[in-house]
Amino acid sequence: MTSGVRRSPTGRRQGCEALRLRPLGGARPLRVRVDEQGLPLAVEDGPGVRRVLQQRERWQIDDEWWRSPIHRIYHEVVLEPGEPMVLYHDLCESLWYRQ
Amino acid sequence: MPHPSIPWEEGTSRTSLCLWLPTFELRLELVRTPELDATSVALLAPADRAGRGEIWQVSERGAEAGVLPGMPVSRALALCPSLTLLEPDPAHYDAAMEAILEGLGGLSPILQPGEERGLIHVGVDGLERLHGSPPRQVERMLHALLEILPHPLVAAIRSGRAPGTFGARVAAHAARPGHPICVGDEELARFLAPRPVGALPLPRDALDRLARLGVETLGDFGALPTSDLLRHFGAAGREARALARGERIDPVRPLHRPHPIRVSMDFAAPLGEREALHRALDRLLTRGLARSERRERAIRSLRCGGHLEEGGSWIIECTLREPSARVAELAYPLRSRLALHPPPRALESLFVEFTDFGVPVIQTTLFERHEEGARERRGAGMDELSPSLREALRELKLKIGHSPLYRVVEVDPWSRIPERRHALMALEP
Repeated sequence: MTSGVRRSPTGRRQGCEALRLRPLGGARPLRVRVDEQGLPLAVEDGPGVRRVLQQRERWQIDDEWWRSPIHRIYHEVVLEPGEPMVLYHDLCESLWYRQ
Repeated sequence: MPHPSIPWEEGTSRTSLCLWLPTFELRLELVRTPELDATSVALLAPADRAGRGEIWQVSERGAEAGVLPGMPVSRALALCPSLTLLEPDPAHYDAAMEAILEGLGGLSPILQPGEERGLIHVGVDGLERLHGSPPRQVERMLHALLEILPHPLVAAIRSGRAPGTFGARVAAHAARPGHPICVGDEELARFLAPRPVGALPLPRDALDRLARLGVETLGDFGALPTSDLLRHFGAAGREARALARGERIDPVRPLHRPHPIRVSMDFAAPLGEREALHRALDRLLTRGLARSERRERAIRSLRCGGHLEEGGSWIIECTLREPSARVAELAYPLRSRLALHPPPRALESLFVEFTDFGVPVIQTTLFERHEEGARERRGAGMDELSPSLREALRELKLKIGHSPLYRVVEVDPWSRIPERRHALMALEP
């Protein structure tokens, strides 16, 4: 079934592909140093380490247990010199991400 | 326990000096009207508090007559007919708190305001060589406050010095004015054990449950098995147990506050009409968003308030679910709060203050929707683009072979998973 799909001069598929959605706000893995309570203390951002100045909010998401479970603890923090950032700890993978 | 050599802990202080002035707001009111000092006075709860229309704070004389915080006004007046009721003036209290922080900032770089006004944690690690022994440090702090607050208020301050903010707060609550309590590392657990369990940072219903179970002191609470606490109170129960036993030390973390952006207007005649206030609010938001010091940042939380006719002030605050830099999105939650907590009298002035910011937002005008119903036609794509943008897009596509311009579309805007809320859709010329 090729209805609605045509070939462009460059051979690029159009139609369905043009409407394809790209997810926005995806997460990027990063390394986080935590204290004994699991709260982020610093974020390794490239070659440097940036301290967490303030822990603003913390919340947990547990969802989709019926297919691919999502268990995340989100931390909204302020990094030096004052940049807000949302991090989450993926409890399934035990990895940290920036969102 | 965090290792002291860990570099990112350098900015905090393990030892806290907690300075606490109980009924801070009522005391400030009595400074303004000293003739009420020897009478029964009560402060009404502010507009944005849950107990609006109830007694918030009460003077000693009023308490002797049976008036208690949280009591309805009618009942308080029935118990004490001579009770003087005062409207709260939150702008005045906030200004006093700011002045205190400013004053103490000269003595320690690490200051952390408590959950209530009138309570401040001062980080005192390493201050011995500068300010002397712990009692001498307290003296220095109080002396600095004498330049800001009148002597009776400074004399009423209670101080506690201990490892961690929890221990210091408990010490300050146990101290008498002028007699600071200093607790060392070794004594912390012993000091905490006989203190009331109500000091723990647990929800009200959890504390009520503990009272019903006969758990009265931190020592009783700390002796409960961790498994029972986890079952009844979850992770908060385990953390509270560590606090009660002096095993968890929360350091004083320095206050980080972005410099607020404030815009205000004075009214020629006091303004009370809702519609007029909404218009004034929109104008102030527009002015605030246009300020250069915003540096394209979105607004995360904001306050709105003003001075009331015949004295006093009124303030409402709100934090946005998503930071925004659009007038309508900022005005909506403020208007909702305004409807819930309207100013008790007409306003002589109005201000809006952006108190916290999100990440910078640039390029907000690419897809301006000028026409009515434009939102419904989302997906029509090119119809909403300006001709010049459409032309630019066509040229770019010819040059690089595909459209480099995308539109943000809502996919599942209320999803709990952030990456599922919005997506990018390519725009084809």
